[in-house]
Amino acid sequence: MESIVTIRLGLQRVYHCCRSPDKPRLSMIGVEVQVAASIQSLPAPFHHDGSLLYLCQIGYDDEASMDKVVKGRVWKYGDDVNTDVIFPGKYTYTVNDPAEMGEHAMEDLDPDFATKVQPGDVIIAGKNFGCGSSREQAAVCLKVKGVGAVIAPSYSRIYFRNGVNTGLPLITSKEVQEHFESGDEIEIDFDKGVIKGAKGEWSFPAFSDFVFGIMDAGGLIPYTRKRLGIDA
Amino acid sequence: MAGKTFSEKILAKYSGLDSVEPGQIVEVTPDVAMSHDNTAAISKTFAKIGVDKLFDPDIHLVTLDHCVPPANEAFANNHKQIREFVKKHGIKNFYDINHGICHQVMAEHGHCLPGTIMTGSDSHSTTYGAFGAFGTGVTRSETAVIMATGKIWFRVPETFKIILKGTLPDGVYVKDIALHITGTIGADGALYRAIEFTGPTADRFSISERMTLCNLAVEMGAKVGYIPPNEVVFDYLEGRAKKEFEAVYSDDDAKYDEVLEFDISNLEPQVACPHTVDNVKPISEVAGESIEQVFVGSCNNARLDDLAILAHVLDGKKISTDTRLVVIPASSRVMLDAMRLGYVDTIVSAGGTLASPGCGPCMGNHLGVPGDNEKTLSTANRNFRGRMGNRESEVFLGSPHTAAVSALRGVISDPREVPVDWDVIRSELGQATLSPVLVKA
Repeated sequence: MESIVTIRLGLQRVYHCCRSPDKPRLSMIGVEVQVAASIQSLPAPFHHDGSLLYLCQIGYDDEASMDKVVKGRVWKYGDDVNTDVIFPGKYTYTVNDPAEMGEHAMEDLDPDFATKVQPGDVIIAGKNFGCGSSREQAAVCLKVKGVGAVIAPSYSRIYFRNGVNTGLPLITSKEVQEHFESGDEIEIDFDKGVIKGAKGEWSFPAFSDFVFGIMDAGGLIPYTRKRLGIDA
Repeated sequence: MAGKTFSEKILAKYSGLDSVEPGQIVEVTPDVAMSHDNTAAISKTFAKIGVDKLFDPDIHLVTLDHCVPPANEAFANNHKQIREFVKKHGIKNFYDINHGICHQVMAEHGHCLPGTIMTGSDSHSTTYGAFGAFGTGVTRSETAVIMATGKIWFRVPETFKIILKGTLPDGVYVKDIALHITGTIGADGALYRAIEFTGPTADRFSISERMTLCNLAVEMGAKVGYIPPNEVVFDYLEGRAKKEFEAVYSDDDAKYDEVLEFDISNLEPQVACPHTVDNVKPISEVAGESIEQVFVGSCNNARLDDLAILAHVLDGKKISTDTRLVVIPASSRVMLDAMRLGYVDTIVSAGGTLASPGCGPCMGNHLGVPGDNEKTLSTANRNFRGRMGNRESEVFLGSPHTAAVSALRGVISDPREVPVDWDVIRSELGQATLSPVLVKA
């Protein structure tokens, strides 16, 4: 019998694990355990509850609130990155599983992205990020891949709403672009509003209270559930 | 107190406040919340919220248009789930696969009304500003939340006024104006802002022209594209409007964030080149580029007047043997009018391929996805890499007249080389009964 364990690391990322490495598509959430922060070396197999567990995929928890600190490497892109290259239109009505959305992330802009991006990585882009279609998958596909934040001087308005509503942090900053290249290390502290890199530190403005309220609830749906009194 | 813009006035009215300022966040209940083939995904998000019933089924409007009839079982099952959801929740405003593209169908059926707030889970929902509505694209989750609560939040936008002056030269159309503006101000030129298109030229626009311009407002980054409604709009809505309405206009002393004026009297036909809508060049710089496909379709330019121009250019001729011409009317009403006026006969006789009304290959689902290294001249609104379903292809955007002449030659061509007689076209369009264009005298 397969048992599935949901591992939470930090507040946002969820790892779906199973006892066998050849069942990569199990995605039901079963037992939830809080794992000590020291287990950072996934996806090596590890022991839990007397069983050897394998990481099979990075899951997506749309009811988890934001990570307060994000640490990873930079993926740098230019101006006007549109939603067709972030998530191709031909998949919008047939790909419904968030994990599968992640496999197509940035497909028409950077075919390496989906296979090489690591949780905590950050996209630094030029102006008007996410222009084009309203498709929500263009935000979800980055979130399921564990992208910790996007930093751009401006966002298309619908993309910004999608970021807020799915809990993908979109930082507005014009200052950092020239100080980072793809592959550079980056750390973002959302409580302090600070971006750190090898060449310095930069502050960014806080989200408005209304927007932060939605993001902190884990996105628009958990926010709405709380508001309607369905969740405490 | 200083005057207010259209957006400030309508958002204040709907949020029950005396007045609002740009930057303020308000909550409103829209008159119409549209969703299309994405309604299946929206219904799953709605289920997650945990409410049994829709807040108000009558504000929801659902169309099937993005891949109709369905190209494969995945699309078919998507449609099936939507029909079940619509039936279960008593959504009366449902337009199945036999109607056409959402924005066009909503206009034809009298849902787009002046002084109303309309949302769509589709970025081109700025189109409703053609009728004087506050129309804007929202996300899938937001439509699910409207289903549950009836509410949506908006940031009150700053307003960018664009004044259009002058008379369009022959062979130059509203599409060329829209592309020219997009090229001038850029894809983020109106980011987060509402655009008001005003001036004597805008005032003369037909319904179809208004829709083409407001549709493209989102490609300028805008939240809303609005043209003050006049008798053209009111005539169109006579006997068609789904309910009573009251138009909302900006005050004369309203405060604008930016004002820009365009005199279009000497404008050349324009083409948006790969791979962004703001990569716009005059036809003289692009003419001669070989193309393997021409697509006349989409919510931007596939109405009766667009098909009329195409038919008049192609009349008695054959398209280039090196080029395919895919023609997809915006709606079944447009198709019926085009059949009755003989346009379909002319287009198909000339070598065009006609497909059923809907979005077609615009976002790469079916009915004309280009092959590797092929170039398409399209009348649609986006040319992003991979947009038409193949990242190894290129898309150019232009007017239906540019598309028609390019199909004849097999290369991107200046439409002014094959002029059409607008007096004849105008009298033909006057006979249309189902999808009137209402060209202003």
